[in-house]
Order: sequence, then structure tokens, then C-alpha cells
Amino acid sequence: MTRWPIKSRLPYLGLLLAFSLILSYAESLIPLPVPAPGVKLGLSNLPVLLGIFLLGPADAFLIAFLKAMLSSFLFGNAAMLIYSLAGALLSCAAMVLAFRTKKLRILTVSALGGVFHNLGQLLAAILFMQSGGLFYYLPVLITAGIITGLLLGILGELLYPRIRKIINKGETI
Amino acid sequence: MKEFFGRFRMDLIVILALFLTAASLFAIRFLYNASTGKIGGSKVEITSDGVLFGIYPLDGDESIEVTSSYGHNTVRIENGACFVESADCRDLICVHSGKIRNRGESIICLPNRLSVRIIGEGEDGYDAVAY
Repeated sequence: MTRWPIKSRLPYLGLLLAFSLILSYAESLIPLPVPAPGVKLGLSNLPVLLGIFLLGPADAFLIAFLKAMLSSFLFGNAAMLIYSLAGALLSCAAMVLAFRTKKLRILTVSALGGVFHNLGQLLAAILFMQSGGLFYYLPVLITAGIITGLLLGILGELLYPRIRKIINKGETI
Repeated sequence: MKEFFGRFRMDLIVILALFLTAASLFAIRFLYNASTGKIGGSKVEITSDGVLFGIYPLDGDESIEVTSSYGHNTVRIENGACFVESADCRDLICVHSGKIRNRGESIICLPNRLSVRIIGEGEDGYDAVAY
């Protein structure tokens, strides 16, 4: 992918971040049956996923980081920040690595992101609560991660070509 | 069709591997529970602010008041199940967590740094759990 100047990437960065925050808010309304508050489904990963494919890994990390910071301060609390950051950054790292192989499509990258999002949050919860018993929820969380990851991946597969088309049109004008 | 699988072979492998991982983790958890006796727990372990507060029998009938510098929770044990009856935290996630009765299940109140966990016979402290 050719790297375009920050000036033309900035609006898309902003839009993806805003999209991410809306999803974070929607997500904060859905409780998960895991006794660690802050552990979330990872819906807000969709903009990060799109960010990787549209703008590149560095911008995606920026979206993931800002999303975690802003959503924790807006809809959560300081404790949630640890979970959000752990989930968002680990998932973004996994997705960037998967993207770098250039052999995987959006769907699969997203599934990996979903799994690592939940894994990151669970690890953060275990470290923070000092409670190894939380490993009990590992299988459930990984399964939930695969399923949400695949669902978001389908959305990503549908959205990516459309957004790409809009961006390309905008570039030629 | 062959072309389709040729093109998405890596994707299929990765997704199948993910599902396999999840399935084997479920299996490991089940086997671990089965190998260490009953799946249902017998004791309740309460930790407050990272420190062991107490271990209580699950077949009892009692209310435990846990107060720390972070806040106050009332843990209720009855009919072989345990739940957080009331708390002064903001989100009340612990109260809404409902009842727990199986080994390994836990309720956590993050604002008050409270953790309630079901443990098995002859098991105390965290070191006994290794999934």
C-alpha cells in the first residue's frame, strides 16, 4: 500500500476513531457473563481492523490506543482503562502481524483480533485481580472472541471495498 | 471450488486452528475438573484487596460482611450457592453477577477490590489453580 500524506489520512483517522467510540459505547451497554468488569466483546475492533487495511498498521495502533483511552474516560473508569488498553493493543498487534503475512483475508485477521482482544483483557484481569481462577473463563472468552471476530470480519469484508472506493474517488478529485 | 480453497487455504487453516484451540481448552478444563474430583465446589474463598479474607463452607447459610478501605459488600451463602447480596460500588456488577456454585466460578467487584471464588475440597489459595 502506498503511504499517503497525513493530511489526507487525517479525516479517515478521525472518522474511524469516532466510529470506534460509538461502538465502544454500544458495547458498554452489553454485559458479558464474566466476573471482571471491563471485559468486553470487542465490537470497537472493527474500525481498528479497517484502519489496518485502509491506512496502515501505525494508524491502526493510534486508533486502538486513542479508542481505549477515550472510551475508558468517557464510558468507564480508570480501572477499565487497563482492560481496554490491554485488549485493544494486543488485538491490534495480532491483527497487524496477521496483516503483514499478506496471506490472510480481512475475515481471518478479524477473527485473530477478536481472540487476542479477549485474551488481552483476561490477562489484564488476572494480573490486576491477582486471581488465577479467572482462567476458568478462558475457553468461553476465546470462543466468544472467534465468533465476534468472524462477525466483524464479515462486516469488514463488506465495508472495506466500499470505503476503499470512496477514498480512491476522493483522491482523484 | 478447488480454486476457492486454494486461495483461502491459509484462512481456513487459521480459523480451524482457532476453533480447535477453543475446543481443546474446553476439554482441558473439563478433564481438569473431572480429574480433581467433583465439578461442584465445596468452599467459598473471599479475597479483599488482594488479601485472603476468609474461606467459608458452601453448604452453610450465612451472610458475610466484607469491608475494605475501598467499600463494603455483603456476600450471602445459601442453598449451596453464593452471591453478592449488596454492595456500595457504583456499577453493582458483582450483585448482578448472580449466583455461583461450580468450582472455578467467581464474582469480582473491581471498585471494592473484592473477589469471591468457589474452590474445591483441600484447596486453598491461588496456587492450587493451574489450568
